[in-house]
Parts: sequence; structure tokens; C-alpha cells
Amino acid sequence: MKGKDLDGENIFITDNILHKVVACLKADRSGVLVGLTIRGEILITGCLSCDDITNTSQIETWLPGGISVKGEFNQSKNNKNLSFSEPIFHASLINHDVIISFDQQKTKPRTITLTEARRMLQDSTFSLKLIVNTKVDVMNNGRLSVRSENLISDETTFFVPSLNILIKSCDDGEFVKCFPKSDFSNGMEVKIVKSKSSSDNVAPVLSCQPSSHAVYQVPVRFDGLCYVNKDSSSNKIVTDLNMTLRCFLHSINVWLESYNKTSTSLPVLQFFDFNVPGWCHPVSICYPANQSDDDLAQYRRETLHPLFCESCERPIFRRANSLNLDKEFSKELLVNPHETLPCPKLVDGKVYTVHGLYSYHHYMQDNFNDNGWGCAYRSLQTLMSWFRHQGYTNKPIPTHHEIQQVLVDVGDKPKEFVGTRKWIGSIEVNNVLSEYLGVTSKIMFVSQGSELEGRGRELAMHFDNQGTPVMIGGGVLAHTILGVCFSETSGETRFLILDPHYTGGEDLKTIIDKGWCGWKRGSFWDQKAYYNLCLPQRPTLC
Amino acid sequence: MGKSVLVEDHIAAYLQLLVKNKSNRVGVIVGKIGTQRDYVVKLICCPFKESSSNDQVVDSAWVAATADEVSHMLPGGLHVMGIFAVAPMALSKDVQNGLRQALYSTHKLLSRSQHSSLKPLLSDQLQMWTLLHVDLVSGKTLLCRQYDMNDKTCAGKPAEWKITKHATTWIVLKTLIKVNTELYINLASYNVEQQLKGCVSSYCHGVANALVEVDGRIPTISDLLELERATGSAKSKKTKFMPHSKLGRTLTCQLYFANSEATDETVKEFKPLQLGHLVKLSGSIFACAYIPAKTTVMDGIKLLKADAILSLLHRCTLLSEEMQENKQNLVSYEKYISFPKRVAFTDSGKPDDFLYFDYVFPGEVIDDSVARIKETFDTILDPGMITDNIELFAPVKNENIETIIPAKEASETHSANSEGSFPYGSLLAAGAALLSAAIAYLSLSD
Repeated sequence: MKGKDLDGENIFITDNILHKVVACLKADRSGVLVGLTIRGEILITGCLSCDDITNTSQIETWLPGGISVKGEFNQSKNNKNLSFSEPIFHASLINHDVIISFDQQKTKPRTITLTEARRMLQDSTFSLKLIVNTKVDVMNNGRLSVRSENLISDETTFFVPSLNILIKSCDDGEFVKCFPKSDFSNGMEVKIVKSKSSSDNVAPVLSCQPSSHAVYQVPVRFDGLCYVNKDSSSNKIVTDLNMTLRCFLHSINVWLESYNKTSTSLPVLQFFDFNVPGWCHPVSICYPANQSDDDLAQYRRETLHPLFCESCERPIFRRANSLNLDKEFSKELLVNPHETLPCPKLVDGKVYTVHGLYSYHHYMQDNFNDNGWGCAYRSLQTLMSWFRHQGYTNKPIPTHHEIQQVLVDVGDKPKEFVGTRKWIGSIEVNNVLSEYLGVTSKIMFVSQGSELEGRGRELAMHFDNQGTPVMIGGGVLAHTILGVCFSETSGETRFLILDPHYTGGEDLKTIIDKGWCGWKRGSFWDQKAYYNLCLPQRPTLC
Repeated sequence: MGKSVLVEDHIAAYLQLLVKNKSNRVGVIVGKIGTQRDYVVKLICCPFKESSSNDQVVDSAWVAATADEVSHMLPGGLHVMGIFAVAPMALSKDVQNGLRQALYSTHKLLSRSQHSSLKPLLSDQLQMWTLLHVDLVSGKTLLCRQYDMNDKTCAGKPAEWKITKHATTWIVLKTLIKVNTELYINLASYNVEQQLKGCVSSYCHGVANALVEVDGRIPTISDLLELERATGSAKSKKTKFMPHSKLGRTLTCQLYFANSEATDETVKEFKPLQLGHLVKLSGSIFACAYIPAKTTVMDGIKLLKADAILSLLHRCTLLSEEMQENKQNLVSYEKYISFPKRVAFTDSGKPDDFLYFDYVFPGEVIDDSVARIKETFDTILDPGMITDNIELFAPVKNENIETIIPAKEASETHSANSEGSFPYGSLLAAGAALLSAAIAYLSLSD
């Protein structure tokens, strides 16, 4: 069974997606597997759970161009009334394994890592970014909808400004080969133009009718991704781009339908790209501009998270999670400086590090001289940056004085505290996280620095489960712990430290070479001093 | 010595003809102002004025009005670039002062209220116009001087009126552009001309910002208009054109409109608009431009676009004049309105010469055009020399096509090449009867 091909087709799927499919099938939920065909093989790039969906075009609106439904999964072989334009395979659980059947043949999918899947996608396709930035008419003909002729019609043609090329459906040969000197890079922008070439030469005729229709002239702005096989013909590219466009219009219309006919104002709809865990490429989601992330919480909980087979424990679809927002993150700060470090050489050592992104806060930044006293404040800022990067909050990183004010507000410090150079510790860090961000933390106490090495397993568990950076204060110093390397067999621990005492500029090489961010042994700690650690816990929200 | 104004032999011959006719003439110089040299393509005498209110040889207002009419007949790339006079040397002072005044009056009239879509297309056109005085007695050039039209106090620079066998070869850019828009628009508070121009305004901006494919490719900024195809297929070796032919290659262009950009980032909500009217435009317009060889393709494209926009706007003006004469208004108009169509003619009747244009309403006969061309362009043509199929009128069979018939002439057919001249006056009464019958027929036949 194992090596048997489906009509010569291999189906590649990432372990994460397979995991989601198994979980859905065990819960008797059904859905679809989406992806694309690369030289006869199928790469599955994502999965959607669609018990409630009755219409295939609803599924396609979530997908970038070039990605389509390749298979469906359900346990009870109930044929939904979903019909797809291409033949698709069927997947179900048999004896805890996902078995794929297609045309009487059965096989197992081939599991690959996300990195391998992304590489497959990158090697065989180039991505186009369809840019639309225009006003469209939204008509009220009983229901609100966009006049699609504004964007899609016979005249629609696609233009690639960087290559000075029009993509027209005429050639049958490989599109890329028609332009041998062109450099087809990823993410090339494509714009929509309308062909005005005429086939008849009748002089202009005008008609003018009175109209009582109310028209909304609404801006629409999106960059839609479209994955194009490198050996596609221009016909296929045009079809895929048209599909991308249609899906976006459909997304807009879906939102518009939920607005009452008698609404006096329509919101602007904005599109955001998100990385969904396990997916090989981002997905684009549309939100009305006049609803905040809190307003949209129900939509995320009840529609988006179930659709993408995600629990509602962590934010994925908040605006702050989106890839394209200019996030007001100080562009000057280094993000994840630890990533270039090689792993420590520890026998049977396993590395557990912070999940996601954080920014490196340290002495002297923002032209604020906190040299000698501000280290815990800087560590706290690093912790806060993690919650901003992962979309748990939009609040800005507080300054030292603002941090002090929070402690006053919460009753922890007297009001004279603000403006001083007084140190804070992990308890204060915990209080500020709680008051300012609503984040609770666990406090770990170590009576001697030499004991820290022995708490390696606990820290490993923290990084595994929570994945948040840890603030540690003791002796006269505060640091941030970004991870541990722990060996089950020897019990040895190495600590990945981010040091807020650095006073230089944002120079990654210096920071790494001089060890301001680096792996340290247990001897790094003051062996006699006692230490408190603040381990922030992820709020469960989405 | 100043700029050379290149003048081909046939134009010099025309001037000599005027000299031989022994009467003072004033007229318009048509051609192209280039960066290095100017090219004169035609000289057009102002028609004789019936009653001359003054004894001045040069009547500024009359010249300006003629030049305005002439400018509507010109294709893209060719413009009014100066004024000339054939007059005796003895009147030099008066004539030359008059010419100078006429230059500025004409420029002022021609450059009034330009539509905003034309600004990016025509803003880099040079405005050094030529003043020419030729002696009525000897035929010699008495004065050829150029003035900066943007500076009224300019003293002028001498220029060389240079007669040459072959000034340059011109590349022809032509295109047929679909005019199809559907827009919701508020028309209430405007007059007919403003209403019509309002209907086409965003279309004009679309033309101005359009991507243009020339001869099947999108040009880059540095591409030049070459006489022959640049890259070698065997065909390119065959020189199709005589070395000194006036017209070189004809390049067909296709336009692609970009979507107008939405700019306001901050607005989060939109209220509905009650605009009042839905205006639909359909059909196509023909545009062309003549560009001297070696000009950049981008400059050529600008002139082609300007021709399309100016042609459409001029048709709005003509149409609004007719509607106002018939006391009609766009908002109360129930049926389709046909724009006038463009018809083409050449100076000599020969095919390889510059195309000039006139506009004809449905229901007008070609002879009307002949008469206009004679009056404005000082050119006598047979009706057969006017090409009236570069654009066509919508077929009568379409329901509700109501054509605007100009009030002066009346006819029951739109026959293209009616022979002989038409006795207008005697048919006016009969024509009115026929007209109402025709309209009744058209509306009953739906």
C-alpha cells in the first residue's frame, strides 16, 4: 500500500496539516484539502473545515490564486452537495491512518515538513501580487453588491510594471519562455488595466437616463497573492488572476450582504494577510474598517478559527497578526537576534526557545539614559514586544516613566516613584504585565543561582507550552531568558540570554560576537544570589 | 542666426502664388515646434472678411478666430505655430506690429481653459511662435522672428525661414479607442456643454493615464520612433519608403486604461450618493498623430492621446451648440444622442499626405463638410476626396436612435457621397416636413 501511486500522482502534505485533518476526522468534521499540482504531483498547502459550507465558491474565496481544492476529507462518506471543477480525492481515517482514495485506488499521503513544503512551492512557482487600488460602485439593487464590471470584464488585462509586459490570454506556450530576458522574481506586482481596443468604428453614442439608485463609491485596496506554476501558459495565468479577482469581489460582497439595505453608511473593507499555522502560504481575510478587533472577536471565534481548524487559544487573525500592516514596531530595533546563533553542543541536548517574534530592548535606546538602573525595565519592554508581535495587544511599549506610573496606579509604589532611577524586580514586572496587558505570570523562585541549572526541565516546559520570553532578576542584575538547551541524560542546561545592559547601537554582529545575545552556562549566574523569574502566561484568546 | 524654421518647396511655392495674386493676405502657420528646429507643414490664409471694419492689414481678432477653427481640424502632433502676412514692404511697420499682436491674441484664444487631462500631455510643448512677413512686391522674406508666447514683453529672436527639399519624415501613430463608460453623475446644475464635458471628463483622464501598446509592444522611456523596425527580421532590410517620402511607418496603437486610484486612506465609512443620472457612452473614436522620426515614443504617445481628448471635447462643444439651438437639454433628453463623427481629408487628395479632420453630424451631407473646409482651411475639395468611413454612424435600425439634425440643413438620408451641391434654401420647407416624417417613422418602427 505504502509506495503505490495514484495514477502516478504523489500527494505531499505537511505534518501539521495532517495532524489537523486527523483531529477533524476524529471529531467527525469534514472539510477540504487545498493546494496545487506541480508537475503531476499534488502539494497540499492547507486545509479548511467546512461543515457549514454549501457552495464551492465560498471555499475558494479563502484561497490565493493558483491554489484550489484538491481533496475532501470526511469520515462518514456523506457526499455533500459540493461539486468541484476538477476531480478530487477523498480522505478518511482507517485505523488511525489517513487513507486517500481516488478512482478506486488507495494510497497514503507523503508527509513532509513545512520548510520542505515551502521550498517545493517556491521552486516550482513564482508568485504574483495582484494590486487593486481603486474606487468601485456598490449598488443597492435589493441587496448590496459591487458592480463587478468596474474590475472584471472582457476588457480586463493584466500588466506587470516591473517587466513592462501585458499578460493576455493568447499564447499556448509557456509564458515565461516568451520573455527570456525577463527576470521573474517572486511577489511581482501585477496591475489591472482595461483594454480599449475597438473592433468597430461607430462614432460615440450617449444615453442619459434619470436614476434614483443610491450608489456608494467605495475604495477597495488589496494585494492578492497568486501562485503561478513556472511552466504555465499565459492563458492559465490569466485564468488564475481572474479567479483571484473574483474571489476578492466575492469576499467583499459577502460582507456587504450582511449590511442592512437601509444602512446609511458602508464601511471600507480592508484586506489583511495572515500566516496560518501549517499553511505553506498566507491567506487573505477581509474586515470592515469600522469594526475593531474586539468587535470582530465573535467572527473570529465562530467562523475563522473553526474554518481553519484552529482552536481559539491564541490570536492568529487579529489585525496585529497581519503580515502587511505597518506595525509601528520601531523599525530600528532588532527582531529575534538569537536566530542566527548555532545550537550549544550538548550531548542529547534539546533546544526549547521562545515562539514567534520579539524586539531587543536595551540600555540607551530612545535617547534615554538608563545605564546602570534600567535593565529590568528593558527586559519588561522585550516581554511586552512579544505580546505585540504575536497580536495579543496593540498597546505601545511603555517608557520607563509610564511603567513607573502603572506601578503607582496599581498601588504598588508611592507616587514619588515616578521619575526616579529605582530598580524593579520580577514582581513589579508581573504587576505591570497584569495591569497594562492583562497578562498573568508565574513566578519562579530560586534561592541560589547554582540551583538554576537544575530547573532546566521546568524552563523547557515553559518554552514548550507558553513560548514567552522570561524575565529573571537577582543579585544586582536583570536579564531575559529566551530559551534553554536541556539534556535529559546529563541534566545539563544552557541558557539563551538576551542582555539588556548593552549600550551600543543595533548592530547584530557586535551583539552576537560580544555575547549580548548568546548561550550561557550555569556559571553565568551569581551562584550565591537568589533569583526571581517572571514567566508570562499566554492569555487564551483569539 | 537663431532657430531654423524648415519649409518644404511646395510651401514656398504657395507663398509665391500668393505674391502673384497681388493682394494682401494674412494667415496661419501650421506645423510642429521642435527643440532644435521647427517644421512648417501648411500655410492657411484667413478668409476675406466681408466688411473690414478697419484698414489694418492684420485684424487680430479675425486671425485668432480663424486659427481657432483651423486648430480643430488638425491631427495630433501638428499645431498652430505662427502667423504670416504677404504685404508690401512699405506697410512693414503696421504689418509687423499687427502680426505681433495677432500672435499673442491667437495664442491666448487657443490656450483658454484647457481640460485638466491635457496638462500632463501638452505641458512641455514649446511656445516659441513664428512671425513671418513676405514682401508682396518681390516675394522676399522681410522678417522671420520668433516670440515666446508666455512672455508678452518678449522682444523676439530672429529665426531662419529655410526652404528645403525634405525637412523630415513623419511617423504616423494611429488608434481606434473604445469610448464605453457607464457612470452615475450629477448633472443638475450645469449647462449642456458642461454636462456633456462632465460625462466624458473621467474618460479623458483615462486616456491621459492609459498604458499604450505601440505596434504590439509596450515601449520603454528611451525607445525612439524609428523609420524602420529596429531588430532584424529579413523584412526590416527592405526599405519600404522612398528616402525622402513625407510619411514613414504607420504604427497602430492600443490603449489600456488603468483604474483610477483611490487615495483617501483615513475614511472608514461611506455614505450613499444620489447622483441623479446614469449616463452610458458607447462607440469608438479615431485618433492619430504625426511625429518627426527620432522623437521618443513616449512623446509621440502624448500627442496621440491629446488628439483623442481634444477630438472628443470638441465634439461635445459642437453637440452642445446644436442642442442649444434646438433648445434641448441632456437631462430631459429621452433617447440616444449621436456624437458627430470624424471625417478625414488630405490637402492634395493624395493618400500619402497628412490627414486633416472635420466633424459631420448624422443627417449632414458631405457637401457641408466641403464648404467648411473651404472656408476654414482655404482648400477646395471634391466630396469624394473626403474619407468618411474612419468612423461610422450607428445603424438606423437600433431602436430609439434619435439623431440631432443641425437646424440649418435638413435631409432625409445620410448618404455619404451625394453628388453636386445642395440647394439649401429651397429645400428648407420641404426638408422640415421630411424630417418630422423621418422621426415619426423611426419611433414607430421600434
